[in-house]
Amino acid sequence: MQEPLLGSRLLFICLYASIILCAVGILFRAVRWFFINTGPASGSAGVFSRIAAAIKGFFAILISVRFFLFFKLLVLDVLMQTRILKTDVSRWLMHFLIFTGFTLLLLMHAMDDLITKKIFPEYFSTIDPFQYLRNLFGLMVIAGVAIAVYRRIRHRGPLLATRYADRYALAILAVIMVTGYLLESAKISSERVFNRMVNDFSAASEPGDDEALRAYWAREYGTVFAGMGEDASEKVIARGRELNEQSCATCHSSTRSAFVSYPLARAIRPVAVSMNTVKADTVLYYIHVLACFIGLAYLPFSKMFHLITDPLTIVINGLAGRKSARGASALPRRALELDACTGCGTCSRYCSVAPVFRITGNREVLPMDKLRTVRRLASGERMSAAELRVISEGAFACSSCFRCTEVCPAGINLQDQWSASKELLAERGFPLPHVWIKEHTSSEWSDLARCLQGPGVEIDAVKGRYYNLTGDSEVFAHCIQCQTCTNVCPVVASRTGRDGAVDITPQKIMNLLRLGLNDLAMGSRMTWDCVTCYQCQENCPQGIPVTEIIYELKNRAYARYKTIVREDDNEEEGAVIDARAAMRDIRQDKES
Amino acid sequence: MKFAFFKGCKIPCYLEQYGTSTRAVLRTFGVRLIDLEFNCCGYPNRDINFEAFILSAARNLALAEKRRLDILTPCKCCYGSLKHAVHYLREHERLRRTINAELAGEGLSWNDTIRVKHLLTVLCDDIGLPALYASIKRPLSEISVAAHYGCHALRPSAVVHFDDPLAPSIFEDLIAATGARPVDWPRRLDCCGNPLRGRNDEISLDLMRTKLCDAEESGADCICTACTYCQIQFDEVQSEESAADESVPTVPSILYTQLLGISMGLPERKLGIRRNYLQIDKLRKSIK
Repeated sequence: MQEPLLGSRLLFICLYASIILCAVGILFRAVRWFFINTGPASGSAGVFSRIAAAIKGFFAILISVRFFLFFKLLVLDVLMQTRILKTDVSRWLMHFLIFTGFTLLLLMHAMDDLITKKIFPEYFSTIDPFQYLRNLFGLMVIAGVAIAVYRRIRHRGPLLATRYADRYALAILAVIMVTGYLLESAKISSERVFNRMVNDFSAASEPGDDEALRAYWAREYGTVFAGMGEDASEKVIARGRELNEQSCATCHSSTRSAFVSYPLARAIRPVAVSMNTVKADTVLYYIHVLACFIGLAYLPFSKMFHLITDPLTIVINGLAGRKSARGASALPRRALELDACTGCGTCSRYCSVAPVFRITGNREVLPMDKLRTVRRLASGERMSAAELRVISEGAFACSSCFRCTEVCPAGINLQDQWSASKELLAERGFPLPHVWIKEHTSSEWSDLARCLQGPGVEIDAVKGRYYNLTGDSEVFAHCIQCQTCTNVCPVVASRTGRDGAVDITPQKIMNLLRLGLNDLAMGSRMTWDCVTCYQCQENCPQGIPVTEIIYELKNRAYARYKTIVREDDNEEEGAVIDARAAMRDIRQDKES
Repeated sequence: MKFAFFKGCKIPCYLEQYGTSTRAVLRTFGVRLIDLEFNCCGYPNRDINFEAFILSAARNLALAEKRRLDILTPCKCCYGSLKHAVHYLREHERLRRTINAELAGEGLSWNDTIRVKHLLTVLCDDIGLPALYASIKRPLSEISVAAHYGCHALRPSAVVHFDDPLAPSIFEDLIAATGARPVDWPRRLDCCGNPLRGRNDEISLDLMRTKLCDAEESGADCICTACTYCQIQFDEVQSEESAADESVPTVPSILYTQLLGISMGLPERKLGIRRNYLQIDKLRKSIK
């Protein structure tokens, strides 16, 4: 079946345009890996030192002669995607079907002139096994897409969020595959396509041969001829079969081996004649081919870019091992990893601190969301202090268990990303609460809270709590101020007679609670430098749960003080309250 | 004997040798360790959010309950954390209801049917000291060992029920079984400093140094730990810091399972002693 494959100048231009766009896009994104700042102290490593470090790393791998490991990574992790298989069979099946089906279609069908014809000189798209295989591979992709859609509906939620990129990826695949099948079935049923093939290949000469071949094709191959009856005799059919054997069969197998398109052609019989009249096959051909070109041109900017980034990450990180990269080569590597994430959510499903997300609702706890944020941080996006606070809370909830890195199908060293982003957040003024709380003294915090928040906040913080050690005088009222807690405290001992001595001792905390001055205890150094060794609690002669009280003070201080914006890094907006300015006002008031 | 093995977060990446040596030692006593899909014990987030801490721990307890397995953990912070969760869930009915409602989404619930045990308790009580003595092939009589108890397993005793909080002896008994000489040192019950690592490094290191000086003065060749965080502090952190400050003596630290493993004649491949940052000179000959 001779088709003006890319015979149209328009399509030819489109093909080259999309190849150029794809290449430029890939280049653009690859160059970006060396420019964006993905970690602390990025400023110290210039673009050239990053490129040099990457090249050095590349040659180090070449010299290291770990070819066995390299091929193992390539075959098992890249081609067979065993990293997905380790965590989820249905997802592996989905991915394997789409990847294998599409790759084989690309090689055998889309690039038939370049590849298939070279290997099989007798290749025709309409003969078996190619016709059959094309249907099989297409069905693989459709099945994979169907599993993906099912999974995204069935498991929808914070662990498998479907975004624009996911919808686009599935839609473009579905459009290419469905139009492919429709195109094939439109061709099968088209009288015009039949006539063209007869003109090109048929050697029929005797009168009645044309009718015989038509009758045979109508019955056996599913072609629909306008105004043809169903009543061809067996004799005519037999002649048709004979002609078919002579002229057609060498390069056109039975359309029935196109086991998806043939039934589809049968199904569209009622509209086949009108489809033939409006040249539906040509229209479908244009849609099919243009969809492929769009997919190609947009590849570097879509989820499909992981076809390039994921093998790179898997191989690079697989060869480098668990060690986090340091120095200049770490920066482009992390940038590459940011592009390798497909948002599959496996990391979030295995996250050790996911219960923190379930209680606080802070999505920045979950690795998948965190990595998106790291990408935004790296691209230099300006974020409000309130947003950075939420991000910091999520980042520092991580218990560094390495599980996300272990399960990531793209082989991203997530652990390394987290340690880099935590350092970056600390640099930008959003470290652990244990660090930022100590920026102010407890009385300053107390003043700030009173000045910037209403009196109801403390009551809100108590609401819904399951226990209330710091608000219930029964718990601490029987403190006799014997100082045993202070005397056994290793933190007090460590700080005595030095700079940065503890401001108040454990026994003073008990006294503050008895006086109802919980505010002054919450932001104290003693509370936040408590090493939680339980010496005070174990040794208290009155049986007061001192350490548990300190834990609760930390919980409450955090809940209350986290909303006070400490640093205004978004100066032009001006709407954010600047704690420092408020602090100045408070100090001035006191002086006057 | 069968236990759900609660490794905690740090062992898989930062202290692999603790996992492998624990398995190797326990296997010789016929103890089977089952891996479940546990999450964090909750300890790292306890400062920030009590409910998140309890839910983390309760989910682990519920997972083990579902498989009807008692939990064995080699980490004292994980042990303390799980024990605290059990304590609070028993005490507060409303908390129990809320947590169980949250767990129900995954088909889990906490019904207080399993026990949480620390590795040392299993070795000393379930397996028993006589069996331990019988397994020793090569008594380590050449070294003196300072047992570091670790706070979160020992205190608060009303919650954790580990040993006598003021005069514990379990760790010394277990060290004596290996043939090594347990030293008496005044600061054996003190904190290693690790909980303040990254939060207040100055105090964290100061607590560690105080203990190191004390161990050295008491004539210990090494410190012995049975907790992931304590070992990280005395091994990795000490090796980083000892280069910076020469006035403080270096006292290497070894995990109890490694010490016991050497005396039982287990191979280095499983004990991973060479993975420790600091090595004990006197033991070098004994390692296979």
